[in-house]
Amino acid sequence: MRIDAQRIDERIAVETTDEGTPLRFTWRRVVYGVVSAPEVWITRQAWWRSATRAPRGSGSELLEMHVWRVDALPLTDGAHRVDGTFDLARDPISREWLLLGVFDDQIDQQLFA
Amino acid sequence: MSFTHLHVASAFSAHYGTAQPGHLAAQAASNGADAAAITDRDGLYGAIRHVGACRALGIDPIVGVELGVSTPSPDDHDSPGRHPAGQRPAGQHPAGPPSGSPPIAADADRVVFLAHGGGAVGVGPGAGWASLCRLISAAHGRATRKVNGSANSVATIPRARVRAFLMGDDGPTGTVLLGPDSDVGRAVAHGAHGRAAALLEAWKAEVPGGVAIEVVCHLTEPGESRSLRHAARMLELADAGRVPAVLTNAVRYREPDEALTADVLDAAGHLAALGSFEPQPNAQAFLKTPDAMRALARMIADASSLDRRAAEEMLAATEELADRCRLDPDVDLGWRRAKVPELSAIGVEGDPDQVLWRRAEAGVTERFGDASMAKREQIERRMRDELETITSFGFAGYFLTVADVSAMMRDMRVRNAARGSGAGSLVTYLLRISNVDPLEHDLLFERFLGNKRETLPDIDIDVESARRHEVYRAIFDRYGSNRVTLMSMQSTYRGRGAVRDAGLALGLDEDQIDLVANNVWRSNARDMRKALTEKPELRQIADLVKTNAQIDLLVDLTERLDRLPRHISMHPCGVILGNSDLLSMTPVQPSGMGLPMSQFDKHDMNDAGLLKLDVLGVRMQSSMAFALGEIERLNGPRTALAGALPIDAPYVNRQGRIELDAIPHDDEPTYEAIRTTHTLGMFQIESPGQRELIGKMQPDQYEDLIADISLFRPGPMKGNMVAPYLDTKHGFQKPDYIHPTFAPFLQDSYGVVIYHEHVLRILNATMGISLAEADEMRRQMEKRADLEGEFRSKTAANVDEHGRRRYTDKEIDRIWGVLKGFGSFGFCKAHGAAFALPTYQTAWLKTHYPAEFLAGILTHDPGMYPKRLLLAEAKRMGVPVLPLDVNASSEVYHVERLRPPRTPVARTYAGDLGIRLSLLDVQGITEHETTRILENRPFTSIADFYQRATPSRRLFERLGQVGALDSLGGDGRNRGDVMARIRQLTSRASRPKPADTINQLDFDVDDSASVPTGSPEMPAHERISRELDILSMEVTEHVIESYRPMLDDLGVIRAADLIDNWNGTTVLVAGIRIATQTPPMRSGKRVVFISLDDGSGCSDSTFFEEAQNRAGSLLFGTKLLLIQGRTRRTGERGISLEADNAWDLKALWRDWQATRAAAGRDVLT
Repeated sequence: MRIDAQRIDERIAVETTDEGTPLRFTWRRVVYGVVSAPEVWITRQAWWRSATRAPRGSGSELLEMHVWRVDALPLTDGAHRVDGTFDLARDPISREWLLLGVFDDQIDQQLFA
Repeated sequence: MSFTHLHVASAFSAHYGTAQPGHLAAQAASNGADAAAITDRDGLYGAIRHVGACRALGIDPIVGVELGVSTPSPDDHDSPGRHPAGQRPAGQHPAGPPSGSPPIAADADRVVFLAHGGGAVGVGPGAGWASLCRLISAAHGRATRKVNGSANSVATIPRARVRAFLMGDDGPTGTVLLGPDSDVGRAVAHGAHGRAAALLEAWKAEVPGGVAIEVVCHLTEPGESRSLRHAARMLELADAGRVPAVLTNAVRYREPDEALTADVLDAAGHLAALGSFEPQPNAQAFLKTPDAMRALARMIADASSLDRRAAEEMLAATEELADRCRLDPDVDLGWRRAKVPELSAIGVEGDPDQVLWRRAEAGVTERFGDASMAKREQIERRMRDELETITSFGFAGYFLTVADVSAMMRDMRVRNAARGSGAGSLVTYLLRISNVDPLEHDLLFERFLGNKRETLPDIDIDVESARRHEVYRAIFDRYGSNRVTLMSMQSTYRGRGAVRDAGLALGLDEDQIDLVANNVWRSNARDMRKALTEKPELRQIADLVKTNAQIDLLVDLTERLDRLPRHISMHPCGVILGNSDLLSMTPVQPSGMGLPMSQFDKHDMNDAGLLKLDVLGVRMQSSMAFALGEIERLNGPRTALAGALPIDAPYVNRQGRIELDAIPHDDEPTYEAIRTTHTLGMFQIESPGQRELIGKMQPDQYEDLIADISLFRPGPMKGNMVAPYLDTKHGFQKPDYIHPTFAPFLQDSYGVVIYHEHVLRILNATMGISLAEADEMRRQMEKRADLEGEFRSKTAANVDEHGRRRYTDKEIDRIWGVLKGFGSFGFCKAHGAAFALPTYQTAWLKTHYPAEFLAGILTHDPGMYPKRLLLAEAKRMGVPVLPLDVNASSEVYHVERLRPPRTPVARTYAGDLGIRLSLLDVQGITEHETTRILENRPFTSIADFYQRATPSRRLFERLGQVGALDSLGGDGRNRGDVMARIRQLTSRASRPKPADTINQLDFDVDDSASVPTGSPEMPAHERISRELDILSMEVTEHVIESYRPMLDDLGVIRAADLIDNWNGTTVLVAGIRIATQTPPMRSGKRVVFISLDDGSGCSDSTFFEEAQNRAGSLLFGTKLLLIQGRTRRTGERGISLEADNAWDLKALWRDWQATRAAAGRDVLT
């Protein structure tokens, strides 16, 4: 049985390999190191909430977002250190990274206690 | 290595697919595939187009369908196909259907069925296709289901019935693809692997050898349906169950960009805004390249417990299945081979060619019984020529079939008239398919049927619209429902619909959507942004776009929807007649009227080899039929006298029935009436533009009417064919026949080359080629540039018996110039002649029997004008309009005789006959209420009416307000008294029953005395406004009259008085808009015609570019207008305005009143 993700949606800084695969990222002042081969999947966005134009040809960028599902470990000290699975997504237009969600047994207590 | 996509939905999967079949097939071919599949949802709507596209691309077509499958079983409620609460896959929207409600489409299990080709092992020619057609028809069932939104409707077949369609004697005729949305796939997604394996076994037992697992990976969130993990588990299941696993991409668009369009379509399908339902997971369902698909195959195999070879095996199995499903259009579909009813079905025995000859010969005597010997010889020669062509094509059966249908309609006494180029054939005239004599109008058979025709010719038949369904049912009864089906029609997104659905998707509020939709409806959705910058009447919307980002987005989405199919419906006139195998050729589904309709539309007919008969319901035919009935009813044996016809007119029988198709075509009073331009109600010549042309042309013969109808089109208007025609007709210039040898056949148009028939004759005369060859050449003239050389050399080589050239080089230059200029402007004269027939017939009826004719058009409302204008026309012609009266009015507009004929042999004079208003137009009246009124009358009092006709209270009041109860009020009562009585009655708590003894006294004994007296009379303006509200027309006086004080103040001229003004006078006119047109113009610039009615008549104003700019949004929206313009004479009796500006009459009225009030004067007197 899988664990449901805790939705986060926060902008984060990510270091990647030359191919664009996440290596390290910083979330809430804690640096995490990726410890698994990422599983890439593709999610979608509610473009109708943000887009002001959607002419032909712009569709896939507005709609899709690639997600790297990685296991990561905290490398630095911090208030909330999580040891679990992370969904890291990259906005295709702004090229900014987003932490979509985290899977962890204790995350509810750790983050929102 | 190529990859064959086996699961591809085109745009013909309504509210789902985004790409046209041809585009998908072309992309597949350019990716190196030598076969392409189409598997639309619920049917074969795009299949014929797909097969055609594949043929053109030189690749093999594969055809299948995606259908819902039901597995009714005792444990249905916990079937893994549904999502029991709590077990829904994570990430899905939690709002599922409440338990106990029927499954909606999103929840229905879906599988793809692919037809095997006729070349595959154990499959006969066409067997796979036939199975697919019959399976789909069965899935649609017989009844129309009421559903909300296309996402909630799905054609569903019980799993247990699949076997009956898909299992042939020697094996399966199709393959079932069990993909992610099948019961198997859903069980896998839920991790119910045991259940999945059992379901797979059940499918294998149903269709042994015809089952494959469809592996789909859209890279969705790990664990979800269509995720990598899901795909890998499916692959493992296939391996364990020993069935082939094939890879598809469950395609619904050509490229990722179109996924956005698919989002909007999903919203339209759900009838809900984006965000309020579970959207597609991402944009991966596109037609991926072979490389991308191979990469996916490897990823899936890697993610599975199988070894790497599984990827190659899956790709190989995909190609193997593709090979099994390759269709041969000729073998499997009988591509373009005519499938017409068997002769026995139309009651023909023996050789159809001989039967056709015999019938045509009999027709000569029938149609031309009194022709001279010479004429008869000419007729028979032409008949022989035509019959030789027809029989050489093997079309005898087709002609006999159409003749059989025509005869059936005549037996039913349904008015009918053939239209189209078929009118050019003598044989169609002899067989009574057409009522146009081609010899009378010099029409050419070759234009209808040349010697190269490979598809069935079109014969269209107009019938009375009111009896159209009756005709369809009779055709089904006569030929059997295995041979007949209705044709369907794909409605596609255009401006208004696209805005509405895009607006819905964005969740905009209704008012905003309405505002945009109602303004852009005339524009093409594709060019909406361009239209916004160019069209003055869209200025308001354009401004809105600049300031409102959501509206800006709406424009982009609207453009994306343009031309996509929205839904299928019954074609307004197409009936498909086939042989007894018709239902193996086309799937059928229930139509709105209950009869089955084909999933193919008119574009599919030729390719599918289906004979389509256009049986078009035309209101004008119903109007004429109604008028003929009224003429007979009112005049009986006096009919000829009453219409001022010759007493011995052969086309009027003893009972007073007029044979309208036999009236002479040279009736001068009819032409005189046409020339007055009071053409309202005359078919096709009643529009403002036509009135102007008629005014200039002053037609005095039937040929003029044909020319008028042929000229009033974009080509001839732009080509300025009108001016020389008119100048020559009126004697201002001599006819220019281009070359003396053309004079005989250019007489009918004063030397102007108008008709295709003219071109044929010119080419025939100059090049010495046959008329059939000439028609071939005519068809190619636009496309081929090299024809000039051929024309020149052949014409130059044309010499007389002395070896002298018939045409000099100079003449050849000139002739070619004319032919080239002719281009696309020409019109088929046979069309024109067929169109002119109802024009002439309506003009004739209006001239000789105005009251009966107007009652016909009021009842069947065929024209472009509102009924209020028809009433005005009746008044203008001196035909009294009798008020609505519950004791006299009926569901139609009857004619009533007001006084006997002046003498036994007198014609009908104005005032002899009146038209009684009909209950038909009372707002909100139901069929039952009408029936109760008709069945229970006469009524003796208002209370009696209330009690026995049991109208709703609203209707009761409305009838009172428009005076329908005045006659029951009693002596000395006015409308106000009647209304007071109605209020008395309706204020009671309950309606008295006839047996209600307590109320009895009040009702039966002394009712008339109960009607109050002395109530204030309803003021005229209130009467009019009620009439407008309730009847949509005013009976008392014209709506414009209530503005009269202001109009007089402003010096507004009445339409009837316009003609008294000099050319070029600046004037003001006012009125209620009755027509708006943007007809074709020579310059190509848009011109808007607005016609206003002010009770005295009709004024026509022309808005050119500047005036359009000034009038802005008033141009198309506003009902009551004031227009300023300069008068422009358009002929003897014609005058129109060139508009400067327009104003909203209601807004002016408010201002004017305010000004007057401010000036301290009482304006409301």
